[in-house]
Amino acid sequence: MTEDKTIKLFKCLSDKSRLQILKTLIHEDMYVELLAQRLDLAPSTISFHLKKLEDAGAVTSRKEQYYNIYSINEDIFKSSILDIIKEESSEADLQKQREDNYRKKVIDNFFEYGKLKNIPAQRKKRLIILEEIAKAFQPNKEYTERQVNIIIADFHDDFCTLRREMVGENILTRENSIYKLINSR
Amino acid sequence: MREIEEKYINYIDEKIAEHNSISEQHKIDDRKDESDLEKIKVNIYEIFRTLFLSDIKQLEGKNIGEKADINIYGGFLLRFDTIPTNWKMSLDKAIEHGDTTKQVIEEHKMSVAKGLKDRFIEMFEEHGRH
Repeated sequence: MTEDKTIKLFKCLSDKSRLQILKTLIHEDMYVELLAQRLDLAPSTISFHLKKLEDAGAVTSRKEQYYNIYSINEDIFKSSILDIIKEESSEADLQKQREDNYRKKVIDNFFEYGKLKNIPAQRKKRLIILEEIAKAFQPNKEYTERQVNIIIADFHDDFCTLRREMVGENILTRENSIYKLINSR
Repeated sequence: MREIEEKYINYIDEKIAEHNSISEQHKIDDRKDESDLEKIKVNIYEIFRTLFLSDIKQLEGKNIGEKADINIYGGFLLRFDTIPTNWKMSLDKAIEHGDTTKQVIEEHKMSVAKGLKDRFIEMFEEHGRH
């Protein structure tokens, strides 16, 4: 488990309601309404906590008819705390984790449900969002300007600025009005 | 401030005190997220409190007699439609994208606004009957 995942898991566990949810799920799998009844909490509060537990990998869910049934993820709790502490990360791994975290933070701040809220003014952040948009392009495929505009417009209305920026930052190449994703991306 | 307005402000203040106390209790109980949700509710009560006081202030000093009731009633009632508009949009988006965390937050905000609206109508209608 990476240090980030460990911290996320422990932060998630340091809450009485979530601990009670896990204590209930250890006995049997359950759906939201039943957990709410057992723990005397509002179903919306239970859903809120289950989402956090699921994101931290502590529980899993499966759909059964009309219900989402939640189960404890036993594997994650089988590893001892000592093993987790002993796990070593190289400086390169830590650096990568820091970069990934920064990247995720920028993406979370600037995108909402897949739409770009606004174009960052800072170049470093702008580059991250341009790279994120670039994921919508297929490698080695040729695109007309209209096709590029349509793809970018799915993210933000100002597709002209973003298209020019993607060329300027060497994310896309443009030759004779044909665009291609640069292979190293 | 007239008696009915004071009564409504007192009601909001009681709700603020009640949810602040629940929030504190959750914090002591190591339920930080639930404590934060209570704080969100407090924040919404405070927003409507400020708006209500501002609506009253705007009418103060104006010689409108009995029309004060109609102005306050109609004007402030409109706030319950305009203020939660963005919350509703945000809630719909959250439901569409399965964003449970945001969904719960928006639902809490809207439930506070609904509670305040119901109480407001109830109090002013009762006041009108006397």
